[in-house]
Amino acid sequence: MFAFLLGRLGMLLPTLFGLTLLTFFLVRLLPGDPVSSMLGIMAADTTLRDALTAQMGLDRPLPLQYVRYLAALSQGDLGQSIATGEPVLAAFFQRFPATLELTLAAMGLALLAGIPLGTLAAARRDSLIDRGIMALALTGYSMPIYWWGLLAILFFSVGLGEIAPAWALPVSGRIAVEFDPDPLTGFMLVDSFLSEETGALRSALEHLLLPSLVLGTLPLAVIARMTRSSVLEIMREDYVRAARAKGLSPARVLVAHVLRNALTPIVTVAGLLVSVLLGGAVLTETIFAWPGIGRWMIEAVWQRDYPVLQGGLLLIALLVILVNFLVDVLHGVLNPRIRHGT
Amino acid sequence: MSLLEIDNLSVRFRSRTATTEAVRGLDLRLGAGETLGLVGESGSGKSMAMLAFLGLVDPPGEVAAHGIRFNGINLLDARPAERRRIIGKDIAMIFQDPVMSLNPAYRVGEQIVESLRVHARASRPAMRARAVELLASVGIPEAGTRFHAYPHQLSGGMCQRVMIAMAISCAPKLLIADEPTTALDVTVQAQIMALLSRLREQHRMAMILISHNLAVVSQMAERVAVMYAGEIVETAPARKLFARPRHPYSAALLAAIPERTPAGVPLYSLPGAALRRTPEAGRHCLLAERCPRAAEPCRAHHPKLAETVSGDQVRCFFPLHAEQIP
Amino acid sequence: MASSTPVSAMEPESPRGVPLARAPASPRQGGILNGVMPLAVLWLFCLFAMAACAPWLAPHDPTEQFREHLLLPPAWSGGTLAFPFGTDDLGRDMLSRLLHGARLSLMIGLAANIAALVPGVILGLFAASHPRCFGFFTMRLMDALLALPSLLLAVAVVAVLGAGLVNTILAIALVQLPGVVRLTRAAALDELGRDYVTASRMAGAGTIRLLFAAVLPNCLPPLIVQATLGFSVAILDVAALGFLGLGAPPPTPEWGAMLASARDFIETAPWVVYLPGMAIMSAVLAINLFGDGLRDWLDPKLRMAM
Repeated sequence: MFAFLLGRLGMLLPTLFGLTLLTFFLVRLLPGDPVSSMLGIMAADTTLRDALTAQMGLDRPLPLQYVRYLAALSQGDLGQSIATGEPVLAAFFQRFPATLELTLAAMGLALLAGIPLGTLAAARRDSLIDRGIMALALTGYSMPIYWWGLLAILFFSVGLGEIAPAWALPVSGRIAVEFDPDPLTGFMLVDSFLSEETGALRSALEHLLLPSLVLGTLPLAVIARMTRSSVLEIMREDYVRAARAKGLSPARVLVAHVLRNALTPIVTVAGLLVSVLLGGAVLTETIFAWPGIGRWMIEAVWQRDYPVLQGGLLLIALLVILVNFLVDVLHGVLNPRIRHGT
Repeated sequence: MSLLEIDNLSVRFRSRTATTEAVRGLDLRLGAGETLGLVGESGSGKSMAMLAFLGLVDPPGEVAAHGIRFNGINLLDARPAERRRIIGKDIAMIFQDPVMSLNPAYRVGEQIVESLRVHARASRPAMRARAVELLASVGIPEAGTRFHAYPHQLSGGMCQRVMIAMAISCAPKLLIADEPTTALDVTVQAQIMALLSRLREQHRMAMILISHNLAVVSQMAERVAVMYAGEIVETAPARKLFARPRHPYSAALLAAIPERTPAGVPLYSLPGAALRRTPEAGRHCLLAERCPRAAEPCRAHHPKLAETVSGDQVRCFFPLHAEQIP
Repeated sequence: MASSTPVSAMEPESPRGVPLARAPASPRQGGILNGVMPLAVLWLFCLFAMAACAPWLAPHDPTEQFREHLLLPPAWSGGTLAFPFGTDDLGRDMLSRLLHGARLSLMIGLAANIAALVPGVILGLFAASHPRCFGFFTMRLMDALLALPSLLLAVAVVAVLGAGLVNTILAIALVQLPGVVRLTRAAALDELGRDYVTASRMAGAGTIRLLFAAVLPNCLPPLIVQATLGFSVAILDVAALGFLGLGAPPPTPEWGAMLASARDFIETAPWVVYLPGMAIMSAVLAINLFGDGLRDWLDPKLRMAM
């Protein structure tokens, strides 16, 4: 197990190196020089230009710039936002909990609904239920997230607002304006709970509901499809037949023997979906005015705030790599054959 | 009274294009403590018949029977929960591939404990202790340590011992052994058969031994049923069947045993391939195309399983080794 | 040989017992949604036909603004037949914009797909044939690309290169590149290990000839499936960039861009939300169904499972 993980870590180093190359050269790809495109019309001001060029170290040769970039990275220095002047790393972590809360809720929804639905479809193979679930999954899988977001607003906010105004869901921000819990953890659910204001937690939950539903739909569909196919595959295994020959109830066979082994591919897919979720968060946060890193990056694009774009990309990629590493660890836990390195 | 009575058991698989009968009209009687050998080539429906009477055939397989009685209980009409109380406890089964039959995600000891837990009430430590005892009783050295092993850490023979320990954990009245040694090394095969033989005496279990290896069956079984294309074609006491097979197919099986064939003589092999059994195929003898003795009636009619004077059964219009049929 | 009396007659052996197992479901082979495959193919065909003939089919110029007909509802809910699908907030004809949008989406999707496939296949083949140095670094670079959420990467590329048609294609092609490279390399490695490749090598075949003439054709089935599914992802991503305002510049009739301005009229004019979204989803759904069917057909191993 240890050797296995060490090998995995070894594979990560070149990938990390490639990642820094990517983020470094992305900004060099700018047509013309980055400074003038950053400054826009103010580029005419040569003193400002030279100051910014020097500040970004752009007056030095490319390899040297890269080495300086790496050196700064190793100290946790990702540069400063051009728009606000704050350090990129700090700004990232200030907004990150909002995105984490949203993606965790979406992933939770996808797993909690996707695994049972996929299992049900497999257990009732070829029935109307199976076909219904698979048709829904394919729809969810083909649904443009931005459209689904707008539809969700239309149904659950506008539509519900007409029928039962009390039930209409909020569609913007993380909590109603009258509440302002101290950002102790950054997780609005936790903070609003700690604030002990009546209604704050409820408001935070209501705000989280629609965005996580919209963001969680695609992973839900993928996990349901994956669960179905992997459960069907495991059900054909000899040990499942042997388990049934022991006189176990169908429910126990399904949960303890089939699902337990079907979990490995599901975990793999869930790990891959983290990257999809973070990408989808860009759109979801834009639609629901959710103050997370997705919206932060889109704003950076609009403001041509390249240090933010560069640093944000790097940090998100690191996060994805970290999650994939954790998935490998989880595989070892789930699968004794990997753990023992055979 | 018989321990097990199966009347007219059939298993069919329907697909859009064709229907295949894996087992047709199978009758079987087994007394308490008796060992029956079930032989036939692969695909002849031996395993399928056993899975069917345990209720382990899944759709699209269809199972039908006139009656299945075990120990006086009608398994056919039993509710699934009732049937599960018998299966795994009074009837246990071991399979062809022991390594694949153990769940790779759990320690082998836990899998035995699981078996104990569904059929017996005891504390967890007591069940663990019992599982270690069982492992030791099937000849696994250092049973206490092996309790914690995963299936992939054990050899095929060890895994089959674990499967056997699990099977006898609730003192079954009937053990079904489906090709228990086929997937194992030759050296291990004899050990496993000896173990099964010893346990059978010890626990006074009845046993159905499925195999295509007649040599193995002849050592263990008192009575042998030969299956071909989903049907029983002959039943007889083991000695008698080996000495004087009456059905041409049984004779062909015996002729194909390497040990019984003198050196230099080519091993006998039956011409042609086994028939795909469709319901229509029942109109003639299923072996007619491959049988050297086939004549007019064989191609026109389907022979019944007829009882001889001595109580044996044979499904043939022209059996070998004449004996009077009442 | 002694023969006994033939056992008389055949017997009716049909078992009429009670079924033990569950009632048999109809044993279907193949994909579970195969029944709708023809519909998906038909719809895809219609989409391509509409995209090809958009200039002749569209009743109006997609950018022409009819100021007296702002947010006119579709014909079936109180509009006029002159604007069958209604108009948007600038009085442009929805139907014409949707038709031209199909043209744009399918074109960009195809172009991005090809722009990812050609270099991806070449890189993948060489990564497989030169695994030590070239292959290793290529694959680590692809890993790095894969670690970036695809939409974010596309957004970043467009942000750097500037919004526009060609840059959208480039961004989406770059996003799809690692998938193609990985798949090609895996399939090619599989093929390279086979005996016929060794035999060709012994016969003196050059690496490039070997890769393209012998290995590539055998890697095609998974690549075709990947390309189909990549096409639907490309359409989704094009529209996503358009939705974020990073796609084709404003008057261009693009499905995603049409949705971007729709949010403000969600209560007053829901058709501006419904119609472009339905266009995107139906196209993507049809391609995905087609891709699923194709995979079942090309890879019988998966047929039972999925």
